[in-house]
Amino acid sequence: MAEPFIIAENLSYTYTDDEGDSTEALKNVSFTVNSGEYVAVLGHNGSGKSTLAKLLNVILTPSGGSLTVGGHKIHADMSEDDVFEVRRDVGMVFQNPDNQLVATIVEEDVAFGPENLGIPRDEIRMRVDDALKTVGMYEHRGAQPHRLSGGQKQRVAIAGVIAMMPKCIVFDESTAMLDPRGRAEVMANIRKLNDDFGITVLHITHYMDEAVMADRIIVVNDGEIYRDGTPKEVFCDVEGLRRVGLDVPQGRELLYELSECGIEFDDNPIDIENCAKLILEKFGAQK
Amino acid sequence: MTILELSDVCYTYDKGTPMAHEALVNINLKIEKGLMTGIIGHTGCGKSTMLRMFNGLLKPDSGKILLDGKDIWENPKEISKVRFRVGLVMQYPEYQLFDETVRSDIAYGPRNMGLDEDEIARRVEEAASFAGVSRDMLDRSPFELSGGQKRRVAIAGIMAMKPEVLVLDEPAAGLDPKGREDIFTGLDRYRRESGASVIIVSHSMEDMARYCDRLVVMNDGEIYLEGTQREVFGDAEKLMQIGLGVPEVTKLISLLREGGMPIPQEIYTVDDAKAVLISMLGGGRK
Repeated sequence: MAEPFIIAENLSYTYTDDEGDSTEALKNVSFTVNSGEYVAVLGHNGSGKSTLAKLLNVILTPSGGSLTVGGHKIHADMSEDDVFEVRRDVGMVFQNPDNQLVATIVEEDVAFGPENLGIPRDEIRMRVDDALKTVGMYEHRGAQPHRLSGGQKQRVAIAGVIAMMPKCIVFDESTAMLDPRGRAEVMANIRKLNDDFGITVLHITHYMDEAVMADRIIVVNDGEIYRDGTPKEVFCDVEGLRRVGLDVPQGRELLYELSECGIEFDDNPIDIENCAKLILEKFGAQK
Repeated sequence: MTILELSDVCYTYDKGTPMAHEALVNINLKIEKGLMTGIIGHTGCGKSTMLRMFNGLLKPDSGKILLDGKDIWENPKEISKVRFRVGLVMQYPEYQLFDETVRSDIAYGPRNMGLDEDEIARRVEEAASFAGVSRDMLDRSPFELSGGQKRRVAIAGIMAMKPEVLVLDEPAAGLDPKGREDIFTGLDRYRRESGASVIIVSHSMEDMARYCDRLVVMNDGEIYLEGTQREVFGDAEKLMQIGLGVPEVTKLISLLREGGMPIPQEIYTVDDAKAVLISMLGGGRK
């Protein structure tokens, strides 16, 4: 059995603004993510996804319920050492690559994290090189970050996180500002970190085709968990997802639309290969 | 009819320095009046440079930009008038909101045009409706709104100038699926009801297929492919050569054809696929 890495029990978070008005961003949310899982988190803008990400890294602390990350209970009175350990275990990659690169040379940027962890010099060198090779940016190690493409910048940001050797990485819409090539680069890297290094991945995204690549999808709606299951299970409910402002992959959408018109299929695949297979079977049977 | 034309347009950044970078190479392009034109291409392909040519934010090194047949640089002192006629919504325009209320923010453009207050008020209401900004939002501070709402306010601010050509650089970037759809359907309605031409940059082939009449694909500062959806998506191989592709549903149709189904390849939206498949599979009960 895999160990649970994140355990949320009745987790709540309430924002209070200057005028004292409060908004419940997360309401009594319960879920578990095991070590080594690859989970996509979907939800419309303002659904509470990013609040969740910020709680995992102690940028915010819970207003109610409990949250345990890598064995540490997250709360407002945590010791600095505990906060430090959680942040070492849980890396974050944000949306805008320009906001997360700090140094003027790629390899210095990647070294920034491990330097702050107080790691010996020789090991930093090794970690930086390994991390840059992992994301395919080693040959750009001497480049200036601002001269790189968006996808390359995000890969450097990912390398900076890997160099800290976290157990879990949270990608908060890390592909949103990239072009198709940049998105493909980043997605291939996320998959690799999960497959080859067993890093637990939480990937917050608005792209359904990216969510399909995860082992599991959690759909957040208005601060609550709306669905939690495999991509196939979650995308089965086309009506429900549309109601909460989301979408499904086009192959699934087509089969659903056809079934609404009386052309029923025995299965609900989400990839175009299996969708095509079912349509071809139906067509063959008819002749 | 052509509303906007680029004729042999070239542009180089940092010209004459070792950093010189040719962003646009001999661009010839005609934008049709009253249609929605989509521009596709990777970061650095010259899209944003070209958008800045459309409303005279950049001046070409050589070549001409013709708006309704007239060279926009014929009288450089009049270039600000071109900017009222060709409205440009930049990427992440919500960061440019600044005024105290949504209403005054949207009114900023028309007020600069020197219109009278009645006309400004009328235009604000009309633009807000097209962009999907509800009436109760108008007297709120733009900074209280969600990201998607702010985006719509910023678009309304440009629509309120009633440009003949509305140009938007990735208007749906970072929005959720419902937010994307709201933006695109709003633009489509604006185009149909105002008769304006709309030009959008997007990375989503699926959105392009749903809303655009014509497509322009750029690569390395040149026009790589251009034409109707059929002319552009019909050349999937050429698109893939530069790391782009066709909509998911079009790939599915290719698989069906490979499997021996006599289905036309020219299908780019789920709605079209559905209609054709219903006729072939004999459904249609509901």
